[in-house]
Amino acid sequence: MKLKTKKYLLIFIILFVVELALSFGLQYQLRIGFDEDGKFSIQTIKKEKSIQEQIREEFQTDKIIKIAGKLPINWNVIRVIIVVDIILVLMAFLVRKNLQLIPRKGQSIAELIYSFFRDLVVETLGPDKAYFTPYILTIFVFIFTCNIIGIIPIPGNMEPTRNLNVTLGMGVMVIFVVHFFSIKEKGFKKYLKGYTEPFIFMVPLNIVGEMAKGISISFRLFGNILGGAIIILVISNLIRFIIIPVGLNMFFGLFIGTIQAFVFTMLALSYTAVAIK
Amino acid sequence: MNSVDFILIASYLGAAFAIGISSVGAGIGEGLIAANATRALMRQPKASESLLKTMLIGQALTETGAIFALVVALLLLFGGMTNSNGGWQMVASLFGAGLVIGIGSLGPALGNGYTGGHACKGIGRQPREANLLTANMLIGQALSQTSAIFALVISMILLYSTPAGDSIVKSFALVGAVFSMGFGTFGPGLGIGMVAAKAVEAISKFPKQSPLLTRTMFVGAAVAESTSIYSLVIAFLLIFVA
Repeated sequence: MKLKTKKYLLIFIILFVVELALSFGLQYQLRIGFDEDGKFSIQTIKKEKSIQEQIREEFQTDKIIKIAGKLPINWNVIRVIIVVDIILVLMAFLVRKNLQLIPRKGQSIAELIYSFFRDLVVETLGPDKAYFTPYILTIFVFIFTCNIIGIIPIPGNMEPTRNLNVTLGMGVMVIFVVHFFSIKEKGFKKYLKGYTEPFIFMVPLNIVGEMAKGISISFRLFGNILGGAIIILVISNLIRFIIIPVGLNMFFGLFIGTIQAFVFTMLALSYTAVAIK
Repeated sequence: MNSVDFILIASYLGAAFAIGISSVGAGIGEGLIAANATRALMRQPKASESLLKTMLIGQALTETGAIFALVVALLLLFGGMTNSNGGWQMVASLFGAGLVIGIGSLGPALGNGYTGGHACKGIGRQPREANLLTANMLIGQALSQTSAIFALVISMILLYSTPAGDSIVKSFALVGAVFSMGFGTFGPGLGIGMVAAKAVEAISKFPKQSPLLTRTMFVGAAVAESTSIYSLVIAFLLIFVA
């Protein structure tokens, strides 16, 4: 056996043992203080939390606060979205701080991403519609950051896109933009006439079809991210948090998260392209 | 045996049907993509990197329906609905929630596999246009998955917001909604997969015409999707009105 292989094997075994110890620790809570008899003691208490309760927590129904006594708002989601926004604004400032003709590391990465999306927009919408690039890029960067922020293991840190309200809000925004630019490009009369194609009887179904676009684009993102979260939770409970959840986090957080962010962006772009041409 | 026992039976059977039926489509679809990627690799051994990337992305998207079914199955097993006493309507809706996502992800997964296979074939024909073909494959697969997402919506509604009660007629209406949505997704999912596959094939032959072809694919897919929207409307009527 090579020396390198041995080293990796040793690291893997140490990780395994540490995770095994941690996994037993996770089932128990340490409690230091006075017990019922008045004696000072250190004891371990078994956590009474079944998988059912943990899954119910995934739906985040218990973190709802009410603003001004009426408007219910999920504070956990708002908190993570604010963190995501701060990250994005900080990155923008850091890249913009010293722009140079010959780009450094950060600037060249940012330029690469921007030019990729500009090419995409120009290819799909035409060269005179390049002003859509910031909108499309913002959607992608926001959803991408939201999807991958869940892999950071901090308590209370979950993907905002796991909440249906967030994805439905994004879907409504996309559909609103599509219809706004459709009216702007075609004119109101031609826009209304589009609903009567191919026959006049198809009007209600065309309206349902337009709403279905919004439903499908937002439920796709929501279902994938929530699905990943629930699968990770249940499998982690079954195998006692050993090694495999890390791989699952990589698959669902990085791989599926990136693909779904790109799919959402491409669909937003393509809906716009179909509507304005 | 009373209806509480039957709620347990229904949720176990629903979980089994969900993951069992949906695995059929996902397995065949992913196999199609891998088979076509292997054949394309024979034609263009130099394009192995982009072929592998496209194959993996296509397979991940094809699996989406099966992942939805896995989630519904896990929710049925561990989600805690089994403790509640919702009467016979709960029995019908728990069994239906598993069945609808199982049948509903069958057609879209087959369609996704068809699209991904043609995308791999197209990269074998035009290795330079790999990025364009992958982007179009993503759009096509997302379009054909729309009906599986309708099935997921119906499944979530059946899991979490069906009215409790003991009416046998209403229970059968819920089962009817399941069949309406489940079989309603099969044709559109497969059909949109075919539309997207041919669009990707055409783009691999005429890469310069790709905006026109993508737009035509969208219009065709929207018309093919209308039947699954009929099914969705009927399922909503059966759940909430009947």
